[in-house]
Amino acid sequence: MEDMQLELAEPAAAEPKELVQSPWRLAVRHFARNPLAVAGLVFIAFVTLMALFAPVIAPYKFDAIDLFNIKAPPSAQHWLGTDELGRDELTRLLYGARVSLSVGLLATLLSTLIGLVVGAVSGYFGGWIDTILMRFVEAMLSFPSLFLLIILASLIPTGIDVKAMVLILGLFGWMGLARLIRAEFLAIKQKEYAEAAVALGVPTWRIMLRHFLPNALGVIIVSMTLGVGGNILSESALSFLGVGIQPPTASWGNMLTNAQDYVWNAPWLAVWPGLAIFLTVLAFNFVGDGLRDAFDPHSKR
Amino acid sequence: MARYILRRLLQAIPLLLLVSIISFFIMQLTPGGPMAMYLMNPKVTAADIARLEHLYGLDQPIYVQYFKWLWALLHGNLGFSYKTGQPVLAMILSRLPNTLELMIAAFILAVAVAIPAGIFSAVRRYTFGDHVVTVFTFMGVAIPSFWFGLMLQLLFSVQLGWLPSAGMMTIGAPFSLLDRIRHLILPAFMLGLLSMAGWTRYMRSSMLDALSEDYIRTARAKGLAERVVHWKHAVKNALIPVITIMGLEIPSWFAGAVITETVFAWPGMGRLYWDSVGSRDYPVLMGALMLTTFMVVVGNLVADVLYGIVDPRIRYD
Repeated sequence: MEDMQLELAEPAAAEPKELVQSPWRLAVRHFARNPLAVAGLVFIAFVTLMALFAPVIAPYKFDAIDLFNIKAPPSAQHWLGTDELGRDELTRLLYGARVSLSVGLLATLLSTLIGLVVGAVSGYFGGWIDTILMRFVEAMLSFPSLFLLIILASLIPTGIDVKAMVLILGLFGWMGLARLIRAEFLAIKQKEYAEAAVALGVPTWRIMLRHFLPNALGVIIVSMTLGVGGNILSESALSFLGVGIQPPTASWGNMLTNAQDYVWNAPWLAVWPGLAIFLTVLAFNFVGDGLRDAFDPHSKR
Repeated sequence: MARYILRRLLQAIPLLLLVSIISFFIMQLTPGGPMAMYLMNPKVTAADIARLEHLYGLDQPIYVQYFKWLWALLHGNLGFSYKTGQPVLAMILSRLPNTLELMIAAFILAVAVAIPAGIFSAVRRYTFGDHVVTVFTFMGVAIPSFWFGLMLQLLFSVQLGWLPSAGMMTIGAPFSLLDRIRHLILPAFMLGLLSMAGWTRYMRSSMLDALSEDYIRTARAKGLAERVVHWKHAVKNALIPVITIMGLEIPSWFAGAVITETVFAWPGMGRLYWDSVGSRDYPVLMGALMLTTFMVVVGNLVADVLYGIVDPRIRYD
């Protein structure tokens, strides 16, 4: 009760101003008030800059070997220590950021594209096309995809590079978005303005571009943000198992491949890359969650 | 109900066929075929490989191989391991109980933490306690599970020395329940963490939905104690969507088992699968894949049936 009275007391002056704001600006303002989401965004910007300027920042060459310092603990010379071949851990971490981030981003882009097309086709045309596509989605979802990923990855004789990793993760990560887009599409199809557009003879592709995409953009952006985190995790898991990105290229995942053997005598090697993955994924999830709130017209404040 | 279950199982057949076809053909893409790795042995000649391939029927067209495999499967025969010559079914069944033990322990752990934490978080929405729970769930979802496992080993085995870092039991020691449990704790925690975090969030939001329903207002209006309203009225309804989520997550549990069993050297199905990938033991891989997919189907079905038990409004027909 107290809350209500408080709100009633002051609004009059602020109201006209609120009305002018576009949904996008509202979303931005909403997002800016979420401290975790903003912190996440800042951290992502930081990691991205580190990755972009890795060759400039990194104290050593990415494959430079220091034979006098093998599995050396953190020191002034090697801030985060060195790995089993005497490579500087901080340098590897910076270069690893390039691989992990680009795999995360590109794989998400690919899966978003597939999910968008499948979901839109399914939702727009309906009927037997929808049935077949959705059955296929269900099959893919109930498939323990890591099992197939492991086989696929082990098949490539030269080992997996960034391109192959992006393909593998992208081709197995689109089902969730396809379902969301389809649902969004079905909802929009029911709206009067969509029916009006059809009745006016507006071509299909135009309805999709003009009416559907702007409405679904929020869903897409949120799912992409969360997808990047998920793909970084998947890449690291596959690389950890040894079927991911192959050395000498550094990825946060493959830096941990041998970490288990060193947990006993060089534990820092196990700590840093994992911490990098953890914080980056956490940041993407905070941002994704903040965006979800910001785009949600039902959320208040 | 029986008819519903039967129909669902029949619907699973096309799925199982699809999975088997996809996996079978992907495996055929291997350059040189499954026997190629024997060529690394200088004593093995190309003629030996050809003889082996003939022996295993690998020189026949792929579709012939597939139908032969399928025909054998229909007779309950999953084939024989290329590596050990043992029947695949027996190999898998000998490992399955270990994986199930791990999964059940992880499941109990996850439910025991997630459900109360979610309820607590919803009932005390926007309090300090709720924020703490929420931050923990975010962390649980973002942490790479294999790394979490490594950190558990580092902390509890290497630094503190409280718990063993690998295996199912102390080798050579007589059976002891305590020993088995001590080996189980860390892997179960690693396998259960992701779901623990996810379910907590689902439970929180589902509990919040339930708390805003009319029947809750009615219950409160009747003068029921808040405790009774929460536990008797809200929790029961809030559980329904969470149970569905649990069913949908079963595939990721099998994936998680592969990684957990690798990190903790747990002698389960996941490890068998992983070892078979390395040795290109395709019959074992196919068998493990089919069994996993089948268990995913059954798991989803169990979740749907449970759904009906918790919510009597749902009818099966």
